[in-house]
Amino acid sequence: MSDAAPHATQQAITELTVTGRLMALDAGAYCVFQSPGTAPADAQSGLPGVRISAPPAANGYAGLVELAGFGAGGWLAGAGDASLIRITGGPAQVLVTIYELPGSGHAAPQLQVIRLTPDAPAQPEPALQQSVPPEPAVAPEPVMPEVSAHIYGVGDVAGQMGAWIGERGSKRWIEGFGMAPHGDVALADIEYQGVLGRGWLSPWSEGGQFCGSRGMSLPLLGLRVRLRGAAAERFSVRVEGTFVDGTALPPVTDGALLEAPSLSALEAFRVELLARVTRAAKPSRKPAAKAQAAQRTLKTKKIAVPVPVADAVPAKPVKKAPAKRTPATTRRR
Amino acid sequence: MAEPSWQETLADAWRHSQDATAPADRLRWLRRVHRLSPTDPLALAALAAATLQAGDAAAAAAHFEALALVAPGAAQPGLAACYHVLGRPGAARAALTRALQAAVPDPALAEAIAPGKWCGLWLDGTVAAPAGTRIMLDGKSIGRRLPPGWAGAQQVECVGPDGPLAGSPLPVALTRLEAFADWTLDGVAGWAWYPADPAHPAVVTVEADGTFLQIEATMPLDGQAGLFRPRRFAVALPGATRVAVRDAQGRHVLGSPLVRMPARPVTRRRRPVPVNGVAIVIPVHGGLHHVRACLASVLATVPDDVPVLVIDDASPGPGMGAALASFGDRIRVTRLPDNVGFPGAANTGIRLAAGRDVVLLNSDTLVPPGWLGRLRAAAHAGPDIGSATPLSNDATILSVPDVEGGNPVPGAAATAGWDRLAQAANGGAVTDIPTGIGFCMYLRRDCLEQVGLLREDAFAQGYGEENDWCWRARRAGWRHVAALGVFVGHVGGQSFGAGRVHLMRRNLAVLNRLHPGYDAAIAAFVAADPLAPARRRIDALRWADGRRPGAVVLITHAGGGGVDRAVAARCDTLAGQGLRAIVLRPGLMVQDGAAPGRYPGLRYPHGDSPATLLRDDGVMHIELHHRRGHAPDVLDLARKLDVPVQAVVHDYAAFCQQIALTGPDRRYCGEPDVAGCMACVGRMGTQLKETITMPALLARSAIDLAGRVSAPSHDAARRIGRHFPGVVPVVTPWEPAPAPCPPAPARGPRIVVPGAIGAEKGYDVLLACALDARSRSLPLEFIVVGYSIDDIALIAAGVWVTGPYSEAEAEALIRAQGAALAFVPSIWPETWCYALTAAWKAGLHAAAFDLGAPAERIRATGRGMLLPLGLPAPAINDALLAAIDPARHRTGP
Repeated sequence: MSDAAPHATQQAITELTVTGRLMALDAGAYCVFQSPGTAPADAQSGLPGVRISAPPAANGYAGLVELAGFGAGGWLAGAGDASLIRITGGPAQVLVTIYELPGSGHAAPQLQVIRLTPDAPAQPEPALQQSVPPEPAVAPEPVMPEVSAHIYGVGDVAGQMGAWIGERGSKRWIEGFGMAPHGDVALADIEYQGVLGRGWLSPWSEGGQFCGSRGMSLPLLGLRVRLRGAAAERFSVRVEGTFVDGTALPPVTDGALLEAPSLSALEAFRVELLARVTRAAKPSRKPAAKAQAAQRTLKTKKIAVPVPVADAVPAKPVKKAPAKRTPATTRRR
Repeated sequence: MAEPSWQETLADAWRHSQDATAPADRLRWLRRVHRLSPTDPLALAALAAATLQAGDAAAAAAHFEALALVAPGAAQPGLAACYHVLGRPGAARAALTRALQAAVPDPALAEAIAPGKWCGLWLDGTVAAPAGTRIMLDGKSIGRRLPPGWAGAQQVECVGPDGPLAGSPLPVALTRLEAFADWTLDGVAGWAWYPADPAHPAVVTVEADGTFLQIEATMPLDGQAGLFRPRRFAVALPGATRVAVRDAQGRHVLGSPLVRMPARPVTRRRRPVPVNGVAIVIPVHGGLHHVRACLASVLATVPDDVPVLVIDDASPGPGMGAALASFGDRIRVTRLPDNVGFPGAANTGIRLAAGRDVVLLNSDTLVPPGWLGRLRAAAHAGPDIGSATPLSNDATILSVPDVEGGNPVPGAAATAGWDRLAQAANGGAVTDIPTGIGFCMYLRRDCLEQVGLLREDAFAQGYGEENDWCWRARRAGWRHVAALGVFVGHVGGQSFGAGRVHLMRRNLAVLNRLHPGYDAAIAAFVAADPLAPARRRIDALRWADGRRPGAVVLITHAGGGGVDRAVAARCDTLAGQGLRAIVLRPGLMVQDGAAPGRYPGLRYPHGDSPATLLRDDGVMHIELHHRRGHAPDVLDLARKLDVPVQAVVHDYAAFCQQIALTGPDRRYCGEPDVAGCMACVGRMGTQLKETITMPALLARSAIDLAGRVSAPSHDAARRIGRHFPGVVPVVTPWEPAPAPCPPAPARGPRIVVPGAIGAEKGYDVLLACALDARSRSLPLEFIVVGYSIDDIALIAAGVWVTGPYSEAEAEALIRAQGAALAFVPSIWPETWCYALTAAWKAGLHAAAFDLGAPAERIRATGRGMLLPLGLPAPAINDALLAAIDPARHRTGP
């Protein structure tokens, strides 16, 4: 590891504990992030560190690996940071390397991988492949989440287009959200903003990007969603929502603002894509497994590295104590 | 929200520095004052003294050395003290000598540095020197008391047993009272002081119609600046028409005598006059070095039969006489017994030149070969031309290359070079001007015969008398011209010291009283600038010298800031590639990126195009950095040169008329649709410096962005792509990420906020954080390294603000704060953010909102933390406090 300290003397060389894993992923987009609660990094070295990269050779896999949002060299920043892996043209392997200071006493970084879009039907879940010990295969996921959100006191949840995200009447507000619709809508063709205050919006995020915050107790006061490009010609997007003060707003469409007159915090929302050709009819596009969709929670793979593959059971969000203060008043108007 | 002006901000800082009781506090405020006003000698002197007092003689010496560049005399005592403390006896003695030559002695300081071996001069003409010193006034031995008439002498030499004493030779001029007088409504007022001893009572004698009054100047003077600290006097003299104000030696002060005189109309008839050639009249008063050079250049360039008449207007000491004598009988010297001022001396020469045309030449000029013939030809280019004036580096409306002045003073060779350029560019062309300029003015004898001499009664020591003469001639039907193919070098600004501007102002008022409409005529001439083409032709010739194998034109604004910095860096890159970077600023001002001020004449207003100039530069493409301030058709240049346009994204002026996506509430606007943008423009106006509808702006920008587009960050590229579908900018970071390095040890939970903190850079956020930290007694300290739109409010809220810094010192200044973290509170999606780089270079991690390039860069490097946009101040403070756990930022051994 001499590259870590090129001018260091012999005594200054620190041996690191390095664990490498190969993760086989099918074509699609994945969000990978370090779980909240991961131990803080050492100020000098920034360790423990997680690095995601393409392996030196394709090793029989046809797919191309594209990494977005990672730091230089593929480093994944600290807890809560999320980055995108996009696999195109077939399955591919991704190299996950964990660097730790010996005797740090901290638990290894916990990685979570969420699949955002499949590029082919019935893809198997991401699997980590390594020589020893062989990892158990991952159970197939019938439906990938299309909408996710971070909810105060709950954590990350996810569901499908057309389903309610967040629990109506729960009084727990949404801090951030993201969307990645399957099928007909390209990621770049859907974009959304969160409401930060009266007449005050977040920057536009596009499909696959997270909008808002996580774990800062900072509520969003609404949202707007719009389509562009080819998607805008074929679909209309409709959003409705409820707010922690009990306000329930009827749906708005195509980039109109969904916010409560009281500026109360957003509690739950539902996004639907409506085909323009059958505008008067029922929504043309339903989630693939509608019955499962409503209030479905996240299909998160909790990958505890170095035990690479965790349970394939969808993780239940851990409920935390509900908020005591009313978030609607924390913003500047 | 009224933000304080820079002057108010500076005054506030100065007041605090004077009110501060603790030395460290005072020093901190003085540093801030100095950053706010780096060229103010008073601030620099105070800072230097406080630094010395704080025991840092090395730093104090650096400040005094900087002061010596702008106020040599005032800096020397402090410099001597610093060198003495630093154990540099040679330098201390040299500084002491300079101090004693500029001011009355400080015996304690002098004794410490040169015990028993120094001399000084008191204002009353007494010499301070140890017993046994041989004292000489202009070479003649005298006693300690200077003999009568000493005020007209030049210098006092003091020689001890071991040679000249520190301070010798002492210039007699140091004892001079600096004073100025002018009419008031009912009398006379002015100011006076002894620069060599500012605390000494300054007394003038006022003589009005035979009555003598002695008045001490004691009142504060408005508008004084720097180390110029005179006091005011005023006296009511109702009905007085002639007033003289004199110093203790009986010499007129500047502006005296004052005479209430009517305009002097030209009564004589114009008639043909036989002209017997030309004579050159050069009034001199001191300035030996310049006089020698001037005379040498004149004698080298004029035919032997041209009389050179030198009028020595009572120069002090014997030096001038000897110097003039050295030129032999090639010059004719007339020495006036008493100083009469420029108009009187000039008239003496004009009288002596009877029958000839006259060139009135200042003694601090340099003339090139062939100048006289060409100037004479210009003056005789028309029957009604009364005077001709050449171009010069320093000649107000006739200055080249920059008409605003500040041009370098040329030596003999450079004067000849400029003259060759003027000749090549403009040949024998002349242009009418509202007045000739007295530094070098060719007066035709026939005009002189009709108009008469310069007025000696109205302009005291000088300035304006030649303008009065020109306007009298104008009224008699004469024209005045600039000789555009002649250049004469001029040192300028040599006379009258600090009182110069007061004398000019006074005489300008006199001029306007005598010639109503004078100011308006000059203003109209300046606005029309008919000499611009002549200056441009000269610069176009010079421009060719800088040509390289190829060139790139960079179109940008004149607003400075990050855009300018990026453009300057781009110019360096192009120069490194062997190309010429040509910067085009508003007003179609063409600059060479390698030397931005070098060609000030290259402006193409009124529909002119620089295309012809640039055709031979081998322009490969045009980079559109910013349109702000440019005419809408600025890109016609690309068509004329037949080169492609490449756009560079610095901000969002392509689709936002506020440029930075901040709306009426001083918050990020959320990028509404066109209707939203139109509403914003309706409410806030535009920052684009042009009137354009939103649809027209978007359509034009789409064309601007049709070629290659680059942006410094992916965020900026994506944002542009969102507003202009199909545009995919190439991402080219402005700077590489600096190598990680340890910060200076943190001195507590300090947070630096680097940069110029305006509304879009998060001023409101910072103020709210500071107020929250104060109300909750948080152990957080915010320090703005730089400045803000309201430093006073920030400081009142507990933030410290250093004042502006130069790019080169940013890293050191951030380090010097001993901070634990940097905070970049920008609320707009910045496209790059140089301040973030500066914080990183100083080893600090940075907190920023999850927005724009700062967020992208922090995410990419992991060197900082991101806060959600809209996080309330208390939550921001909590997050900052959590992030600066001191243990995390302590450097290792």
